[in-house]
Amino acid sequence: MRFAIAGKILHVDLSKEKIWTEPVPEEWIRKFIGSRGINAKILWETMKPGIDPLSPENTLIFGTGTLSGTFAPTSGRTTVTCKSPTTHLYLKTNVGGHWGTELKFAGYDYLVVQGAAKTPVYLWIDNGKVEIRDARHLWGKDVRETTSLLHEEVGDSATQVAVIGQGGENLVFFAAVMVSVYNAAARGGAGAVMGSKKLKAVAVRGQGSIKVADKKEFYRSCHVAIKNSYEDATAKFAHLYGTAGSVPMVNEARAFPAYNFRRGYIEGAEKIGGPYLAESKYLKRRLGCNACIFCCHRYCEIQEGRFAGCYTGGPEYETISALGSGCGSIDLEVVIKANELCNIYGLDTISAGNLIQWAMEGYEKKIFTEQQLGGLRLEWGNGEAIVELLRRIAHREGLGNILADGVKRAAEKIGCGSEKWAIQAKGLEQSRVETRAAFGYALAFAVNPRGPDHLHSETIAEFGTRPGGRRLIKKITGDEKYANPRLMEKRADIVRWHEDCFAATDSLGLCAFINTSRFGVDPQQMADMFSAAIGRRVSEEELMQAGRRILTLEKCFNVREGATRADDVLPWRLMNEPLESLARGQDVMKAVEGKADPAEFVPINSPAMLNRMLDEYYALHDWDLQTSWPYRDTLEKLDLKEVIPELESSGKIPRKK
Amino acid sequence: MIRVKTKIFSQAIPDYFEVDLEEGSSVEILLNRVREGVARENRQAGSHKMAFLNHTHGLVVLLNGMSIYSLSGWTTRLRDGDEVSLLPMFAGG
Amino acid sequence: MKKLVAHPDKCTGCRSCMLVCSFRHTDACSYPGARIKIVSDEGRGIHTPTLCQFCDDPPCATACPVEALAKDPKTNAIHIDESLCNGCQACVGACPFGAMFFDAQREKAFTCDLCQGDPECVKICLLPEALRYA
Repeated sequence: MRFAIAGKILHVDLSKEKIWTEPVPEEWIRKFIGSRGINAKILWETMKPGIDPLSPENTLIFGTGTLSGTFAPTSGRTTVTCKSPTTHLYLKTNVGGHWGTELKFAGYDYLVVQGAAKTPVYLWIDNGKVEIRDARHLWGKDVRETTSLLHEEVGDSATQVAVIGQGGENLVFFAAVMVSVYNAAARGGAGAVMGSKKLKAVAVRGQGSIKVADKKEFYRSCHVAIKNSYEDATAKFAHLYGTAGSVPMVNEARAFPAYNFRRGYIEGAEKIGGPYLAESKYLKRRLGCNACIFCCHRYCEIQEGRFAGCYTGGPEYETISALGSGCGSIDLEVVIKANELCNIYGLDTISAGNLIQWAMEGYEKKIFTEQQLGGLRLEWGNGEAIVELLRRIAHREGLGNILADGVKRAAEKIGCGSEKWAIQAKGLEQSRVETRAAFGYALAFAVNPRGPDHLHSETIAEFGTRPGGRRLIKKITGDEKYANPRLMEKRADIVRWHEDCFAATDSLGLCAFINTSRFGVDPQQMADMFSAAIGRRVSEEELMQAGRRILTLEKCFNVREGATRADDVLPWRLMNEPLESLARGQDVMKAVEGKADPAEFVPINSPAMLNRMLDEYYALHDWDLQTSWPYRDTLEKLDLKEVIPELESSGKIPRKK
Repeated sequence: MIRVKTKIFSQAIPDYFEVDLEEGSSVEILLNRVREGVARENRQAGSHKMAFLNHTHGLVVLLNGMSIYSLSGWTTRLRDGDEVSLLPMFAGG
Repeated sequence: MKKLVAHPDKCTGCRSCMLVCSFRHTDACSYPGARIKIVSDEGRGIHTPTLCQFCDDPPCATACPVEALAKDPKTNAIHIDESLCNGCQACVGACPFGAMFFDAQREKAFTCDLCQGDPECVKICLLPEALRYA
């Protein structure tokens, strides 16, 4: 048995109905750590550029964390990787729950699915035994019902199930892969890829074990991380109020996207916030992902009224903004009901909400025909319309069929100037951060390989609201004064540190919230746990370097697919329309000495501003400024020589001037 | 005299105060004025709010949406029409 | 005498307790090796810790034909004398809580021993506080 990992990659080719395994190469752990990193390596190796993401030629990879299956705090995260149907670029999407750990206990660190089945199937992984089984009787059923049926079928209710609902089956471009019922590998349409393979579910039972190399040191380093996490000021609030707890603060910061990013503030936002939810009759329990000590997830029920009988995990901050304030609503019941539908149909709440908002703005501007609307009254805040439209999206009915292709294609199809209010870039809907109010986030969103969201590097520290965050900004930039989201200076440095850390965190299987959203666990502590687990000393530098290597490999995948600097943009609205709810100039300039022009801050992600930050960012990475592509010696220095031949032969290695 | 709007999130639903201050008053002066006001309130209702207001290290303080720590901290000077929000520390995404 | 009590309404189903318990008592992390098990209804968000209830008159000890089970006077947990245990599993059947477990490889019964008075599971259940030792 190997340390920390089960040691095997499980391959399934659904076209050929073949199953085989290979050992996890030791070198891959050294270079790419695990989970997201090794997934990226497998994706690079198994994919040809230019393929249709919904064809059998896409590879769908499930990768467990190298620390998953231990009690390292928050180590239960899993990465799902493929080419995205909505962006036609690199996609990694991360999920909690308990499925990944179960897969490791079953004896497999990675599941690589290629090809496509002719009729619906599911995979049954019962410890060492792997079978492809008929799933025609499950096709058409939602996530929750399918999970129950599978528990009965395999005779064990402790079975972990990764599954798609009607969303994935109907190839909705923002369909999620759901695990442990309510946990979503949500962004980018991995659920549609699974649906295109006619793979309904992967059911796993794992009764094996995971060993670590140095038990004593592992215990010590984990308990240091646990203690530091617990003592961070926000740990208790994370448990009490969840990510929903951020709602009031972000709204007070005038950065809470409302009405399709037309405003950054909505009156009464506290009524859809974490503290209000915690005191309400809706929150029934708090839940936690595998090995987590924070347990920030929610579980809610609605027992009376128009949505009586609703029960679901969630809502998270993103869902609240996407299906609440974004739609002009502060109705908690609507948010909870909409969340339930997204969970059981298997849809990404961020994108689903984005599409509904786009449609509401379109309705206001009267761009839809009566036939398209099919009786829907999409006024801002109309909860019944939100709920009905979600059902139509999942089943591709009427307007739902147009929306199901994502907001970029929907706007292209409908036209009428609606591209201007399609809040997307690269083809992915932006997540619920007002990047006109936070320039570090703006840069991070623009360069994220999967599209504009906060899960490639979340630079919460730049808000300057927390001592741990200010310390981190000082560590990265040399001065706490750069903990100011309205500044362009040093954003590149801040984003790059966070990218490295995030990649390492994801690849270890740790939850990204542990070290870039709270500040209890730093890369040194992560390296300590990693070292004790695998039995080899890994320094903080080596760990962050591996993080850098992983995100550079992800960048190379996009380069191979044809992405250039022109793709590193933000949505049209955010680049062209300033955010009215924010103060300008004066307040910002109080922070930084010697600024000449007090009116310099404008709450907009203008091309000039973005280009300036991109230049700095690419220069820091040692990538060509014009194309954004990595130079040959950048790749060599990072020990990524393996990507050079292919990139070179397609003319994608830029020459240094 | 300047008038500053203050929102206190010691509970799920915030309390609103409008406070009149002298020109050039700092955020710290505002906080003291709010504490005085809360202390004059019904003792029982006020005690939770007072504990919240006294726990200055655990507060997020926003001036027109910006953290005061990105400005001049507690000595940041206020102007007429400014909006100040006091919240507990949270995280999430 | 301190008691280890589970509060199921606070259990989040994170399984940190199972992972650290198995680590403490075996050479690896696993679910089968844990002396506390979380039983879950994921759809309803209900997670229930199953562990020894430290009965005053333990049915497991009564059922044991070779008197291998006795209360540890220091902790009040069940101590299993492995030199006597013959793997018959009578204790497993006798436990009304399903909290006596069997290691099929070693052919020995096992259950919560309170980690000799410093339970690991309690130390890791910090925020939910679903496990309390007092």
